[in-house]
Amino acid sequence: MWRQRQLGSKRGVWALVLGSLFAASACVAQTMNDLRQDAQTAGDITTYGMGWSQQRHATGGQITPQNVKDLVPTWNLSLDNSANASSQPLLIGDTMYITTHSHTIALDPLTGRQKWKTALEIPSDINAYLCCGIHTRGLAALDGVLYRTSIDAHVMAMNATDGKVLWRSKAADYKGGYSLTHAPLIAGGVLITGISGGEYGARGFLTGWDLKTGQEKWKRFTTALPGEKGGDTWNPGIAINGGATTWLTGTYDPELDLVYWGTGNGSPWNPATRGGDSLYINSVLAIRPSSGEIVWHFQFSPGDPFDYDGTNELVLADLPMSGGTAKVLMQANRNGFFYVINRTNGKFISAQPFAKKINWATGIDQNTGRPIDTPMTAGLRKTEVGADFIEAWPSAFGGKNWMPMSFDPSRNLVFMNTVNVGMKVKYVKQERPGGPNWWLGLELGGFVGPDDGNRGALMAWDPIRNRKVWEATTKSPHWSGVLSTKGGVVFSGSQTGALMAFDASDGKVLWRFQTGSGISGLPIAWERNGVQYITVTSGSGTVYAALGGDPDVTNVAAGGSLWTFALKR
Amino acid sequence: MVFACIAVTGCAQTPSTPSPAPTVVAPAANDGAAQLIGQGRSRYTLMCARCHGLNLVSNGLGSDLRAFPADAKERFVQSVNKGIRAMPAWESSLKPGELDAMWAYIGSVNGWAVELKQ
Repeated sequence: MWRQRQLGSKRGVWALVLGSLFAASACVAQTMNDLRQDAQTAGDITTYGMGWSQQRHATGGQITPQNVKDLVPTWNLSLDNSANASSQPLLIGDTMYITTHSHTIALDPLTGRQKWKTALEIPSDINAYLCCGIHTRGLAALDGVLYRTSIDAHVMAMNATDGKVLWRSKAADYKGGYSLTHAPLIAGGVLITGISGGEYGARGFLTGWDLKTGQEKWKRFTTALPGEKGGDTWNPGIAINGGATTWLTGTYDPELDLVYWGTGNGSPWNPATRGGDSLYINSVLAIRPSSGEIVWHFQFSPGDPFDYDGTNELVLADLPMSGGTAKVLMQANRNGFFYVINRTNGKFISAQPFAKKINWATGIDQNTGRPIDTPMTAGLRKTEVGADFIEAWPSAFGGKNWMPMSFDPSRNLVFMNTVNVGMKVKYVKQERPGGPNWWLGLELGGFVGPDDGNRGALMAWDPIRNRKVWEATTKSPHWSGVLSTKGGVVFSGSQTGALMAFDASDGKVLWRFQTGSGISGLPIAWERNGVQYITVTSGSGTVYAALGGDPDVTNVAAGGSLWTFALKR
Repeated sequence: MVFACIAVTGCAQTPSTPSPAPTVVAPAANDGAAQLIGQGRSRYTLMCARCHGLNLVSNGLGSDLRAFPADAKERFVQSVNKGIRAMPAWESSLKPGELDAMWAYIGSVNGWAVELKQ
């Protein structure tokens, strides 16, 4: 349907002209073209990830390593809650939009004053059905309509002018352990969402919805049942509750018309209970947006025992490699390896370790892309019941967790927040309990810090040579997104509340500002009247802080707000 | 496995003043107590740790159970069963004995003994 509006065709040119005319006026509805161009345009942010490739790179160059020391706050807006503020704002026309788990808010980006605020109704017992906190990560937007998910596994459309709900659809029953936290994706004229619930014995899926009506167009399950392709990679009776949830937003290549979506851990975590590779847990699925058809898949961690979800952002890039240009997707996987995959056909290109300590695999076979088990891991596949606790690195938090990385296409560098923590687990035979109860098939003994005391690092990574360039270590890992700018500054926030600016060339901290709570949000950069602004949420209640046993994040006050900064004038 | 509170840095900054600790009695070195505590730890980890912290090491998301008074078991039972503030009601998910087991586990971490029903 939307293919008729390709750039270059007469109709496409008219759409572009009309789109530009509308963009000049104060109140504007973003078009499909705005979504497609989002990564190039500094004046608006119409997609989660600042572009369908989720590169999170700002093309504005006003802020530089030389002047960033003059960055000052311009306004702060209270989000009026104490939950995790792990969200990314959108900026469309003269309005900024931000989501919390309980509200959707529109505000003036220059003054920080609220324009409207719409509340959601959340069931009072929702906390029983969440593994990892109550929050929401952002919005999709098109033609004057905002789209979001709600924690109780619903999807909704709202009028961007006044926040009125246009439609609301149920993706799943939250009492089955299902929830939604991610920003929806608009691709191929369809609204696409996934699902959370991998610790509750859920069965993962993706849904394609009609943008105008919220009717379900297609639903694609992500575990293979007996008789289905891949169904023989499971023990009987497991795949129906086998996990492979789809809890982070996918990326989209409009030329290939492929959506790339990651799947999460198997359910239960115990690999011997599940049996086999368990397709399609911990994989990237290349999906046709109009039908939900799985065009190809690549599985990062077959038969995974350690909760190494494959859901981390699948950043798209065109890299100068092998004498030409390789169209790739890149993922810093939970399992501790950085993957580069050919996004046209799913062929494995490279995987190298970025996590400091990996003891579950000796490496990745560079021909097949399959991990090479250590004896510890091989043993876990053989018997459901472990004799004792084992220590696995990376931990279930992974070498990198959900907090998204940034890719700078002018430097061909990735900047990502990594984690350096192990875990002690003992595998047990557990029947699926159902309801608000976790089904892991193991005892969680605790998390282990590294010898040098640095549980994390902001890392610069060269995806072409697939190796580290620099790192800025930190006692507690940063649990917020990363933003890179053309000017050569990298922004991210600490769990103890500091928004920091790093020099992209060497990782030195050039500026910091202490906000009121930990930062688990996704910073954006945008421009108005020649001024470059940085906006980020502050307000943390992360699963790492709750479970990690890290003494350095036990004294962080809760309380969400939205901050904006600009160079002092 | 008794986790001494003093070993954890965060303990010094517990927000509320705990009621005077009862005379600490070393947990009975018998299989019954150890088994109950183990069952309680397991249930707590799967159900409660996501908000109250692994091994009770709270960061404030849920209330700090290291400060829970040893003589307030009735309040504990009421809050967990019926829900309180952001915590949902758990009674329909709990099997008989699991509350006692979790209470025993909390006691083992906080250093107070729990009387076992014979």
